[in-house]
Formats: sequence, structure tokens, C-alpha cells
Amino acid sequence: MVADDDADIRELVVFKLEQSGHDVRAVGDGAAAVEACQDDVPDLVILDVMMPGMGGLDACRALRHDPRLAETPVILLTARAQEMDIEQGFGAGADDYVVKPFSPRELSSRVAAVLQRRRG
Amino acid sequence: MDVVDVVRWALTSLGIFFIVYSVLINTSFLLITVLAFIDFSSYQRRLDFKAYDEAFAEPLTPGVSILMPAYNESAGIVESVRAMTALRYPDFEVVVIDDGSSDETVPLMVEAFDMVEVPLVVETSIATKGEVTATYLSRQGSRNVLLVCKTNGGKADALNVGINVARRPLVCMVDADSLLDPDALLHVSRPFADDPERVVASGGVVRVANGSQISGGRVARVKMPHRWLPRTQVVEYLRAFMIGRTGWSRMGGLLIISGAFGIFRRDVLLELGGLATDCIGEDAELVVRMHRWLGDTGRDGRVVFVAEPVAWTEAPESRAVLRKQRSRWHRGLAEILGKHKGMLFRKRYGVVGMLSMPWFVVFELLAPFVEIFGVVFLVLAVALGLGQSIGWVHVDVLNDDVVWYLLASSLLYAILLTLSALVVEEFSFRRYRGARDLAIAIWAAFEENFGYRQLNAWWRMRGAIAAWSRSHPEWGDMQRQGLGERRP
Amino acid sequence: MSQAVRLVFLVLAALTVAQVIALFVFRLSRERSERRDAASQAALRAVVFTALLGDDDESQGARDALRARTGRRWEEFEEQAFTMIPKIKGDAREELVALLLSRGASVRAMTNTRARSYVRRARGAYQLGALGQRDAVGALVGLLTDHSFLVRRLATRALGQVGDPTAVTAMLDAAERDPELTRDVTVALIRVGLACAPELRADLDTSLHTPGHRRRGSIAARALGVIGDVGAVPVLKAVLDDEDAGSLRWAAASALGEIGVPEAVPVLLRVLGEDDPSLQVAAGRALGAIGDPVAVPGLARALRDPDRDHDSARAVAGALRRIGGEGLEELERSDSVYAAEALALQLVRQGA
Repeated sequence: MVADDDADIRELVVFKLEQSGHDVRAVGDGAAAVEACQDDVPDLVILDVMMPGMGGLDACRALRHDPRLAETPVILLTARAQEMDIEQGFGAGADDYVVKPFSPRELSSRVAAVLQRRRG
Repeated sequence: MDVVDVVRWALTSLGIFFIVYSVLINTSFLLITVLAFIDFSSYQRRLDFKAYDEAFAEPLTPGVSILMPAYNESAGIVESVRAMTALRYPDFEVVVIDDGSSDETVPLMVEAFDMVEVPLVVETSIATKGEVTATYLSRQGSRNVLLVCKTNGGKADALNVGINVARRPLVCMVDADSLLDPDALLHVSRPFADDPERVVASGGVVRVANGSQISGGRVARVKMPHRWLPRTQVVEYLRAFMIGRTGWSRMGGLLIISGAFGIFRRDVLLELGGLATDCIGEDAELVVRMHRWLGDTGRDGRVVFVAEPVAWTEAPESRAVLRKQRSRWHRGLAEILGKHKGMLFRKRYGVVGMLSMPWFVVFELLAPFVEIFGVVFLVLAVALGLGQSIGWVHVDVLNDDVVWYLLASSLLYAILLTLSALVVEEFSFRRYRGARDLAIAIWAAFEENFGYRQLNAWWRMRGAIAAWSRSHPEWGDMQRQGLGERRP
Repeated sequence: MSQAVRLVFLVLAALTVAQVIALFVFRLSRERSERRDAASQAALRAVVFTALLGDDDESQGARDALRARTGRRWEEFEEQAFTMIPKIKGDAREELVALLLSRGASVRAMTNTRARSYVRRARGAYQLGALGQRDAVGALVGLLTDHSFLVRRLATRALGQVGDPTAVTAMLDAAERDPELTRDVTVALIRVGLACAPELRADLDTSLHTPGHRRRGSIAARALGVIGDVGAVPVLKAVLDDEDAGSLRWAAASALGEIGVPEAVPVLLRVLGEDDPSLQVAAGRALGAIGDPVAVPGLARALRDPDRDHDSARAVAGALRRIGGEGLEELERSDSVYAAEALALQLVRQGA
């Protein structure tokens, strides 16, 4: 599951991850992401932090409240990488974060690593 | 000279006066439109290159305290506040000031945001009538929702308490029923980030939300309303806000920032002593007083306007409510201009004192009077004209052809100006889509001049008179100030 | 007379009709072309992604297809590419830049910077920044003195993206001339990063001894702080020690807090006692950011001061809270209202 309001980034992530063999569903904002996750629990959720309406941090917290999704790994896409923001991100329940602009390949490896951690 | 000549002379002079006034007001507005258009084109250019700078400039983005005064708002307060917390901005807090509500506002807030009472230190830089009774902090989310409970003192007083409590360098005042775009803070705080030494206040455009799809405290899809009153107001707001404010801002003479959405520097507000509690239109009065202060202290400060549409308001749909609103606005304008008439034509107040204020007195404050008398004159002219043609009046008092063409021309001029506002919108923000909405807007531009304008003028005139009679209480009725009145 | 008026009326009527027609034409045609563009954008994007991220065969094919584009179709690609470049990093970005460079995008961008129209110069600056080639520095520095503010701003940002430290002095000069470029210059310097730290340190040192260089010095100090240059600590301390440095000291204090080294604690504690509220606030916050418990006694003393300014007292209490441990103990011992506030905030933070 990918949530980002920027079409370029959203499509990029979808392309890269699909290429790596994943099944990807993409939405444009946090609320849609939370809703979609409840219909169909994903193996991993990628959330952009700055989205209109429900942002990534709030969406992450909302996901953690749902028992079915409490263990689902979450990666945050953020343009900010300062200490306090990282604190906030992990505080919200995220498993990892990727700073924008990001390398698609790096994102793909992060996704693989996080999924590996969960399975192993 | 006989009576007929005098009458003819009087009628012609009056006619010329109305025409000249109309030409002046419309031409000056045309200049403002041109300035606004230039501003938008350069704004659009900047947007083309926006890329990702907003995100990267975040270490230097100033924090904002959003102040929301609330009085018996249990119906919509939670949703409003939630919408505020969902704004896209790296560092902000939402401060709700409960002005002694007698309904469920406070309990609803405390429950919805999981709030706990905390002993926040409330600075008392600005003297307030009401007293703070409790302060709460939310445990949810980014923990940036505060609730300050105070004893009743009115909206301005509540905002002053909010300014005292605010914990960020910038303060944004909103109404409990304001609808903001997610990027509103980003846009309207930008001038402060770019020019921190000079910008003291910045305002955003307010548009009419009626007819649009609203969900979760946001305007989801913008559409033109179909009914008469709201659609005319849409067009009116486009002209007044998008064009009017922008144009004035470009000249450096922005006099009024709407209360629906404005950002101010907290330290400047503290120096000014906050909002005035004895005025209607306390937000507009604040800005005028700010200009006064800038002039008096000789400080190089700027009050700017950001053209990007950021805030939406539900415009009155009924005549009764609209009447009260317009009357109140105009009364506020009269009070403010009266209170600060010492600023008129004084060089130290720059463009505001030398140009904006005089313009507002002549072309805003007095405009409804001129318009009403213009209507009377028109009726008289029609009657005379008819009288002439029927043969009741045996003297040729009017050169009717000229009069009709002049009247029609000034009407067309006004319509042209409104249409040019639509053109500017078409080249800038383009929030409205489709041929149907365009047709409604164009129709409203024409229709406005046949009824709406005149009604508006009548209400505004009554408002101005009310302000005047209030300051001269020996003359006529005393109007009671509506302190608890929150909605228009 | 009546002829003239009639003429005026007719002109106005004609203009009105013209405007109404124009409005419809504008709206409908723009909407139609928007729809067309969106479709082709999506298709183009797919090709671009394949070129950047696809398997060797596919990507080679896609790249050739893109390179083969000419005229309007190439321009379309170039436009989309330039929008996408700032959003990605790594191999994908390099590939995209290489594609553009192989068709002379750099040369075209340079030419744009010399155009007569400010819009084209601005676009040139933007493109040079996106391409990120070091040979663009000269042209961009030249644009820092352009007539148009937009061009100067974009040139500043581009220099940040190119990341060449040789432009540092020129950027600081630009900010000195143009207060409105302050933020852009600061951000650009931060983006250049550690590479420009030595120059910034030197510039800050000079500013300290030159009157009227407050803004320039503040920018350098803030940038050094966010960059996190430990080597800048001595010069920042020197700024703080200098009582004549005025507002520059606030920036220095913040920077020391961001860099976070304990050796700055003594000087920060010292300035806490000075009579400048803004400085007190900056120092208080910095001490909290550094988080060294050594500062606790000094902060506790400051908290006991009854004449302390509101914001300053809050900053001091906040610092004690952030330091934690001994700091929190001090807060509990204190009877200051700010201590009570800070403790309550701490509880809330922990509670969630």
C-alpha cells in the first residue's frame, strides 16, 4: 500500500515495487490508505508524511490502533530528517523512514529488508 | 434665470456628479485590477518553479499558533478543530479559546481530543476582561491542540487571551466555521519566512464555499452555487478579495485583512496591545492600528496579501442574514475610519494614510450613500422623462438620450470590471470548472447590478448611519452591540 | 456630445460581449488541453520509469525511444524530466540527468540564462540546478545579481542543488544585498553541506569583526548549526562571548544547540544570565538540545530568578525537561509555575 498525494512519486513507487515483484495498491491520502488497509490488510504500508487531510503520521497512528494492522510494517516517506522528526515518526509507530528525495532502488531494498525482518 | 433653468442645471450637475463618481470608482478599480493581474502573473511564474523548496526550507519555517475563539459551538467545534490539525505545516498548534460557553463545547473538546488539564502559564501582556479558568492539552496525535477556558468577554477578548497563551512566533486567527485549504498556512506564512525583518501581517484570500462539496472541514470540489444571493457573493468576493486586496497589497496600501484568515507576528500584536474590544470588525481595526503604529514608530513594516485561495466561508443564503452582515461590516468600517481619521493624508502613514484610507472613505464608506441617491435620481429622471413624453411636463428639462447612454455606459463599465475579475481568475487559480459554472458566474456579474447592488447599498448605508448615531447618541436610536453574535 | 456618449456606450458594449466570449473560449479550450495533456503525461511517465528502472533490455529500449524524440515530443519529455529530477536520488536521477545532458540540455539551460526574458532566465537557473553540473556555477553566480528577484531566488536555490562550495561567498553577498533572499541562501548553504563549512566559519569570523554584517553572520551561523559542523564550535563560542555582537549571538546560540556538543555548555550558561531576553531564550533552548546534565545547576539557578522574562523562563524549564533525569528532579523541587507547566507537558508526552 502506497499513499502519496504527488502523482509522480506515487507512480514511481508503484512501478519500482511492482518490478521487484510486489503487488501494490496506491492511494492519494492518509484517510484513503487507512480505509483501504481495513478492507485488505497489506504486508507493508508506505506513507508520505506531508499529505493533505490525514498526513502520514496520523495515518500511521490510526493503523496502529487497529489490532489487525498493529503489526503491519510502516515506512514513512519524509522530507525532514531532523532528530525530532525521526523521534516523532518512530513514536507514531513507524518501522523505518526514507528521506525525500529518495533513490527508488534504495526504497526497494528498504522494503525488502523490512519485510525480511518481519518474516525472520 | 427661471426655475426651469435652475432645475435643469441642478439635474444636469447631479447627473454629472453621479457619472463622474461612477467613472472614478470604476477606473480606480480598473487600476487595482491591472496591478492585481501583474501580481498574479509573477505569482504564477513562481509557482512554476516551486519544485520541492517548501519541504526543504522546513528548518526555517516559522511556527504558527492558530487561534480559534469559540462560543457555544458544540455543533461543529470538534470537526473544525480536527480539520485544523490536519493542515500541512511542519510546526503549528491549535489553540481553542472557549469564551464561557454555556453548552457542551468544552466537554466535547475534552473528550474528542483526549485532553487533560495542564497548568499552562498564561502570560498577561495583553490585559483582558475575561479570566482564564482552565487550560487543557490534548494527548492525541502531535499533541498540539490546546483548550483555554475563560469567562465571557467577547470574541476580541477571547482572541487576546489566545495571543497571550500562544506559544509560537506567528499567530493565525480563524473563526470556528472557517474552512481552510490544507496548504493555507504554507502559503500565508511564506512572506514571514521570506522577509522576516519586515513583514508583520499577512492575509489570504477568502472565497465563498456555497455550492461546493464540503467534507471533513475541507472544500473538496469547488462549484458555483445556483441560488441568487450566494452566486452574486461569489462574484463579489472574487472582485473584492482576489482583485481588490491583491491590488492594494501590491501598492503597499493594504488596509484590511479579513478576520476569516490572517497571520500576524505575535510580538507585534503584544506591542500593539492586541485587538480592540470596543469595535465591531476588530480584525480590520487591528490592521489599521498596525499601520498607524508602523507610521508612528517609523518602523519599516509590511502588511501583505497572498493571492492563493486559502480560506472559504459559508456566505449568507437569506436576505435577513446578509443584511445583518453587510450592515455590521459597514458599521465596523465607519467606526474604524472614524477612530483612525487622524491617519488621513499624513505622510508618515505612507500609502495607507495618503491613498488607501482616503479612497476607502470616498469610495467605500460613502459609496452606498452615493448609490442610493443615484437610484433616487434615476427614478426622478425616469419620471421626468416619462412626464415629458406624455406631455405632463411641458418643459425640456433633460436631454434624455445622453442621460440614458451615460447611465448604460456606467453600468457596462461596472459589469466589465466584474468580468475582468473573472478573466483574471481564468488566468490564475482556475478553481471553478466547466461551462455551466462559468455561465452562472457571468450571469451573476450582470445580475448583480439590478437589485443586489442597490439592496447592499441600502444596508450599508444603514450600517454607516448606525455607527454615526452611536457616536452621537443624542441623535436617534442606540444600536446594541452584539457580543455573543458569532455567525453573520 | 451625444454622439460621443453613444460611441462610448457602443465601445463598452462591444468590449463586454468580447469578454464574455473570451471567457468561454479560454475556459473550454484550457480544460480540453489539460485533459489531453494528462493522458499523454501518464503515458510518458510510464516510458520514463521503464527507462530508469526497467530491466536492461526494456530500459535500453525505452532510453533509445526517449532519445529519439524530437521537437515538441522532446520538449514534453524534458519538461516532465525537470519536474521529476528534484524528487528522486541515486542511479535513477543520474540516468535521467544523463539522458537530458546527452541531448544538450545543459547548453540550452546556459543559453536560457542569458535570455532577455526574465522568465527564460529563471527557467535556465532552475534547469541548471536540476542538472546539478559544476560547470554551471559561474553562470549561476552571475545570475545572483540579476534584475529580477525571481531569477536571483532560483539561482540561489540552484547553487544549493549544484552543491559547489566556491559559490558560498557570492551567496552570502546576495543575501546581504537582498534581505528577502535570506531564507533561500540559508537553505542553499545547508544543502551544500559540510563542504562549505570552512568558508562559512571564515566568513562568520569576519562578520564578527565587521559592523553591519549581522544578517550575513546570522545566516552563516544558522547554516553551520543545521549542517552540524563541529569544527565551527570555536568561532560560534567566540561570537557568543562577544557582547557587542547583538542579534548575531542568538543565531550562534541556536547553532551551538543544534550541533549539540557539551563543550558549549559553559558559555551558554554564562549568557543565560545576560540581560537580553532573546539571547536567554536561544541559550535556554540550546542547553535543552545539547542535553548535558552538567547544565542543570545553572539552569535551576536561572529558573529561580523572579525577574526572568516569560519566554526565557519557559525555555529554561523546557531545557531542564529535555535534559531529563536530574533536570526533571530540579523541576519537581522548584516552585516556579514554569516548572509545573514543564512537568505537566512531560507527563502528557510520556502518557501517549
